Amino acid sequence: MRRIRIRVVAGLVIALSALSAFAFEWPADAGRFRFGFGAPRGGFLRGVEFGSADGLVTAADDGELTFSAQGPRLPGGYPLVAGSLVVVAHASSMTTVYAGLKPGSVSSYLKNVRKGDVLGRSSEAKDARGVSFYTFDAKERRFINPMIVMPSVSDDKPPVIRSMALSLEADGSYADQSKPIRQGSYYVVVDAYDLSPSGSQSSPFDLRVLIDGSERGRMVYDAAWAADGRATLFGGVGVEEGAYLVADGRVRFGPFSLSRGRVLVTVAASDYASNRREQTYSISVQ
Amino acid sequence: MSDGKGRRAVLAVLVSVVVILLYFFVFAEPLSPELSAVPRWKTDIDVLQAAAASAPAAEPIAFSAGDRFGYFYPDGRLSFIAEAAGGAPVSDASYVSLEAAGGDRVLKRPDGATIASIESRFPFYSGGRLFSAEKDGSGVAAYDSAGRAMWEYAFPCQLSAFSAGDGLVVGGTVDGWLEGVSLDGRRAFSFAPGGSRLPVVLGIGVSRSGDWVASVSGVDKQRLVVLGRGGVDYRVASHRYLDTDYREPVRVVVLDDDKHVLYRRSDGIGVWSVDGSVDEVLPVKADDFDVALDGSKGIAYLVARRGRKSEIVAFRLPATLLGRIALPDYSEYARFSGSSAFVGGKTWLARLDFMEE
Repeated sequence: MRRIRIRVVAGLVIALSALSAFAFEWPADAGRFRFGFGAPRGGFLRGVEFGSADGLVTAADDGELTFSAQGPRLPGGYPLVAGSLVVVAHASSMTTVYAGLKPGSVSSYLKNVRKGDVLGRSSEAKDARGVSFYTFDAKERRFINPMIVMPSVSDDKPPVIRSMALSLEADGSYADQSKPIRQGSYYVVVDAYDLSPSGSQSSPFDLRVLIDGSERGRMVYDAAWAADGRATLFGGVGVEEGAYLVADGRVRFGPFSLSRGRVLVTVAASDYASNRREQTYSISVQ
Repeated sequence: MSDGKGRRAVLAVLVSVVVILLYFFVFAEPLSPELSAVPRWKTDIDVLQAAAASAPAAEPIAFSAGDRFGYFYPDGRLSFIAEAAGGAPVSDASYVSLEAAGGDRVLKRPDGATIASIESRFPFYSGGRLFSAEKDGSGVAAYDSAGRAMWEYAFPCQLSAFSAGDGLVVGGTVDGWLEGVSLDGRRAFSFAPGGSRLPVVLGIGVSRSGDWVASVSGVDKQRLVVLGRGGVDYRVASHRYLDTDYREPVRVVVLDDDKHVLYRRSDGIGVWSVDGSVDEVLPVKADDFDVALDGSKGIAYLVARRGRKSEIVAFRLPATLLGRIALPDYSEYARFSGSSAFVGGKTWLARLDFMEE
């Protein structure tokens, strides 16, 4: 059932990608693309983030400016965490959000905007965050990974799988994999990243965990949404953010029951350009 | 013939006199008493780390202007004034020290004593309660007075408006939805005002009681919608379309009398009653404003800001203007307590008392 759902979502992603490919333009120099959808930036980044160098921020497509805020906070006190905010509604029920623009630089007088119109300037914002760009499907009320709807970015490097650790479901402690581990129920905690065009460690697009060759977990970084106040990730499976992201930014799959014998845990990561890397870990279970 | 003309003239005068008398006795409104603002004190302020040697019995009042923040007493004595880049979140009960850049924030009492460390990157106060902005501006976390994390709530997209009462938090989203969150962090309601070509929430006001929620939303046309609590749910109590075309934050306030809503308009500050029976305009143009109600006298005071100019306006509800006082340019702080106004900037503080004569 889950495989079917994943295929359906993958199909939707491909269809959406095909329909909207090149409809949108990058709002800033794609070479400054620093963190992608899902990068741990004080939580799961729901858009993409550009480097903080000074530059123009432009509208990704024709649309209408519905909201801009330039102060440090909204009237009720809520801080604009990345800086000034601009929201543009597009005909396709897609809304684009631009956060972190330099205060005072926002072209708030614009109402109808054309693709490429200057919305403001980027600047170094709080916590050295640059401009963040979000694509939000207003009909489905979901953030969509901007990589799906933006022109592709040249990328010939596969993701990097730095480590895989097993943590006990019961108490969250990590097993010493240099020795045989006891049979039981474990989470597979993965540290994997993909280098962004600016050379920063960002998220891959697709992460899979296989146990003894059989796929047991898969996360496609396609969408993020909220329901009843809970942040949820990945259209195919709908995982709660708190259950997926470990505090240090690694990601968690499972729990999986590991039985006695030698178990092969394979982690496969691919990026949006389909560069792929796979790493297999042999675990002795007693 | 001339006698008849004379009688008609006398009759006409008599009718006029009766009409005028009727007007004054039947339709008359009481005249506003003279209201004057009496300066009580003005003090220069500088960074002052130590608390006042003999603290007055009164509770200290929170102060924040630009990078400076701290506390002072109603009699003009300073408790302490500190400085931090961008200022610091401060309320009458506590403040958040941001000195540990990038690390945990420290929640402190007005006397400087530490309450707790909090894991919040973007703390702020709203309605006197401590919150933290989360998830790229699409989430909020709430803390209790001891600095303990109570709950975290994720909205579907970025917030464009926010307001908190004692028992209700409401976030308005850039895609035009209002979501209410109860004291325990559960969804209290979800509502899309709609009625406009493009959905967006521009401003929200929640009453202190949490019984009323007012919002300005939408583009073409914009709309003021008031929701009232009905049992466990919230329902539309009143609404009206507006002539404005704002695409930026709009201040909306529900007064503590639970009856009146103030909202920004292009021709002044609108005064609307929650049941829709009052629709007036105060002739005060403002980009932003704060308002306080002196319930004992039935007078409301608002500080209206436009660019670097600001003024205090006193009025009797719904919209009878009693007086206005221009404040010095760059007045960044204004706070009301009863009929007293505390105003100030980065380097000064003053108190004005409004007196009826």
